[in-house]
Amino acid sequence: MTRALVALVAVACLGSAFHLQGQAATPFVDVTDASGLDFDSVYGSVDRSYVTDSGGSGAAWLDFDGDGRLDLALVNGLAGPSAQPYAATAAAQAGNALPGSLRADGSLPRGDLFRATGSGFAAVGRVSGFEPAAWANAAVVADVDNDGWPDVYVTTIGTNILLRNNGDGTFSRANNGAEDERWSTGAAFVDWDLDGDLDLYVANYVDFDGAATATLGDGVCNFLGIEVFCGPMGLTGSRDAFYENRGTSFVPWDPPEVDPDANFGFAVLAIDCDGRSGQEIYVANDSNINLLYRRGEEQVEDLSLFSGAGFSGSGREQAGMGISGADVDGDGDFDLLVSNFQHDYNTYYENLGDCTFRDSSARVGLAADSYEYMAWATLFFDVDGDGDEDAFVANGHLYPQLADRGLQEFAQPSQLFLNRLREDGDARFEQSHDVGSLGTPRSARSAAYGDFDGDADSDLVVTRIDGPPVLLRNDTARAHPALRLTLVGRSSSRLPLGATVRVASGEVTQYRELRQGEGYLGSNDTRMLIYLPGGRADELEIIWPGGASTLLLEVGPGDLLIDETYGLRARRER
Amino acid sequence: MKNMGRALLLAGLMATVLLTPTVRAQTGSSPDQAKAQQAREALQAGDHATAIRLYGELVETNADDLSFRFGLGQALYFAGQVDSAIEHLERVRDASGGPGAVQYVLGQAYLEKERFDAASAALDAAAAERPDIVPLAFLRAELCYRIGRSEVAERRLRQVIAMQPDWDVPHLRLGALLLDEGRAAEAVGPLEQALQLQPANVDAALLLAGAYTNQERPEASVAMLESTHEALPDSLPILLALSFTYDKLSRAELLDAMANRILELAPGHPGAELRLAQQAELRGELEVALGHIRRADAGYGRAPRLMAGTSAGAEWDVRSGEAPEALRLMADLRQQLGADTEARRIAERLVAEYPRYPNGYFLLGNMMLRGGEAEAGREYLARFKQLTDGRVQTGLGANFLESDESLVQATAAFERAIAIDAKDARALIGLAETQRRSERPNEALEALERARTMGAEPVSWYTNYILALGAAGRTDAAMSAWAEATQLDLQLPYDVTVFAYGAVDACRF
Repeated sequence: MTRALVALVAVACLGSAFHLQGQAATPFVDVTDASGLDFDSVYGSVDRSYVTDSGGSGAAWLDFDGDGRLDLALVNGLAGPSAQPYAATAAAQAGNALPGSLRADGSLPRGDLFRATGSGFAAVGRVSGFEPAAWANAAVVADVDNDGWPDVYVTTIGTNILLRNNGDGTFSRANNGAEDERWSTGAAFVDWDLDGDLDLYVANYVDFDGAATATLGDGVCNFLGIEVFCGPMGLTGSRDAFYENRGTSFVPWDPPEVDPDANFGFAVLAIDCDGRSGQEIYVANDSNINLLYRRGEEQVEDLSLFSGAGFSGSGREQAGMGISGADVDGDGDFDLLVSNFQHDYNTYYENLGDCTFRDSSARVGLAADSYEYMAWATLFFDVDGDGDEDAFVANGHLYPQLADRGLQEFAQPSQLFLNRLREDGDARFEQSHDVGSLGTPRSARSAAYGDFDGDADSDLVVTRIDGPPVLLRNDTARAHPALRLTLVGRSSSRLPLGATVRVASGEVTQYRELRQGEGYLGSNDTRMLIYLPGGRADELEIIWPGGASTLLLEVGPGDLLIDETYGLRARRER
Repeated sequence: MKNMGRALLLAGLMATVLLTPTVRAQTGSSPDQAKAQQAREALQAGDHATAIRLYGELVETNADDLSFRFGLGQALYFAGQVDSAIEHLERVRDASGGPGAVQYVLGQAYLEKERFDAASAALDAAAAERPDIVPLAFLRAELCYRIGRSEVAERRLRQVIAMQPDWDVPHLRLGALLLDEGRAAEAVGPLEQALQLQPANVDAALLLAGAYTNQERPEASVAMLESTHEALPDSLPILLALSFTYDKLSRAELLDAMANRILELAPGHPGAELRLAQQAELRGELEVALGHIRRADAGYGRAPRLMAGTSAGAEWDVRSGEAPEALRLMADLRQQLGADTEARRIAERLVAEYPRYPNGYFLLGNMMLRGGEAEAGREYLARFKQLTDGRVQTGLGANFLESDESLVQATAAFERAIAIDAKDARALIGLAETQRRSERPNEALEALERARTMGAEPVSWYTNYILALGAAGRTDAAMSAWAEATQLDLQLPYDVTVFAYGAVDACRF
């Protein structure tokens, strides 16, 4: 059997040791300890004296060894020195870490890879070669070389790293041409030129000069009257980077339309917002206009100012952190949700068609309840299996100084907003307070959803700035049976990012898109879970990035592997 | 805080009692004496209208009686008819040699009319007779403060406090003076003392909130305002301060409570209506929000516009900065509720009435784009971007202006703003301030000349204009501008006061 088929079978056979029989009363259960996930997170100094101490690191779901189980990659920052992050990364990558970079016990913080064993996770970073040492931010999974094995691109403050999957359970660091040396945050893979391989867009944040930046104790910057670290306002932005994939390496591409003002780039999402061939690129910037680019005839078309998704509905620049996209209102196009700073709401941009958006945050009920929280990762996914996409937001404060003074809590509860589209016929969100451990206050940063226990729902991993990540098993009662799709490209990229899926089930039609880099610094499970209100998919259509389509009729729930050339290759009913 | 005269009425009355008995009645029949007694009682009871009437009748029939005329002068002063009061008091003084009580009241009146030399002479004369009178000592300190002699004022205030530590007013004034001088850390103590002595002292509470915030003690500010609110549940300034604080801290429920209470006390208060509209909109309660915003817009529309003086040469619209936001929100709500034609009309009004408000262009530009007017829509959005980018730089410049050590960065930010939009009056004034503070007053004056034709905000314009003229040695022009600003009733910063009264030879100590 091919590796993909093995994976499909393994998923179906997976008997999760930590999955309870029947549905639990609390929807999300913290199974971190039970899973064996043991990761010591580090990200800068704990007093958060510089902006370099604030962003946190990402988590990525991937099946790195093709055994059908979902593994987890975690990247890490360094302990310092916060004023010299680039030097710290360079030294750590060269094997002579700066003393300030080490933990108290003298060890060097590294990323790690956790292999799913069937009864939990086992750390295999060292043996697999996946243990990047750097001031790392995002972990973005994609099959960069179209060999069928997922690779991982790690952004850092310093030189970015591509860890190429060798296909034998190991990774190698590849000199690939995309070693951006700036402060990179989010990144997204996208087949921009539709040549069948994945190009790369990297958001860059600040051109940081520690010697010239005020720090705590200088009395320069404050939030709500309390002195805090400075930035990004007042600092110099760093221009985003665009790389063309030439098959064996990446080549920098420098279209003048892309980020000429060097905004403070935070998160990137490749998403099709106009229903035409190819994905657009949307960048959430911190305190600047959000950017939207579309492939034009000869150049990049800059839609940022005219899209309606550059600012809040009132024309304010917001501090964008994370992005997610989904057809929230069931009208067949993909809407956006951008998480923002405290004392501001998370912005839901309703797609009006052809990449024109409108801020409908208040109307759909996503504004008021998000106002007092500082939001980071945001993810649309169907939590309760009712056939519409719900919204998860990971919250956590930025400034411990406010917590020290009793003004704000550093740890904040994450939030889950359930979409009422299927119940009421109209996209409205209601915050669910019955969320179990998801609502435990944490200083959360990145998050990624993935069905790690194989029970056909999306679980979550959430990273924190001041503690280890948590693994939350989704035990929510599901309304309908599920279809899980694994897509394999052929003339499209092997991981066919940008493929759109239409599922008609009963009276409900759902649209999904295969993306990577969604949320904030993380990578989600690339297998699509779609719930079937009608009990089966009356029509299942995949529109591949190159434009070809595959149509299947009367498909029952279960796991499907669909190949761009060969169609349905494997199926396992559930 | 500028004029504390009215706050000293009662203390002043006491002082006149303590000072040497004024001129005795020289004439007058028994009925007149009885009437005089009634007048004195009315004055002491605060019934100034009756006192004025009775004393007026007595003066009319006993023109040479200095005691009646003195009584009339006092009553007129306490009733706020200061010019008339001075007229009578001066006659008494000139005829009687100016005993302490007369000099005291006259000094107070002169101070209120900002006749500082005369006030100084009068109060000094009173103090020569009785230097131990606390309100008198306070007034002499107040005079020094009012003419910018802050060092002497501070010394005198501390003496007053030592004389009578349980009187809240000198503590309050000392705290205000220290805040004016940028000595917020030192201001906290006197202000806390003022509030402890008089929990209903709203001025002390508001100043103390600012001092706490300046000292990075926002939690103390919140606690103190909440405590004052408990003591003064109907104080509008305290409610407004608390609502502002809760807004900053994202405490939506408390903000709503404050705003609703403000509306109970001041129906139609536009700021409160705006806050409630914003909160309702966030919750998706669009019709509720629309009701609030209509009332807010009506309230802002009733606020007066300030017309410019000759120095500025342009009209200034000093309606609240919130007024355009209220209009924008109204248009947006109408749009969300499907009333597109009405929304468009309001958006056009917004751009017409506030041509430098960026978000009006954003709103109208997006309406045009969605309505198929692509080219016009893009133009309006480009203008929005230009204005917004300029504001970002101006905001950065304003932050850098807070420290003398970052004037170079401030200059760079303002220059970037002007490069984006040459008509940015606020950026021009900011640039002028950096130039003035860098001892380049003539360059500052050039920038201010450019700003004045563009509808510059008057307080910052006049502040920099007066100080730059002074620094450039053009004192007459500076004083002329100062007179204009005073006529416009602009509240300029304390260092302008210090400059303006530099030549006043008062506050002798």
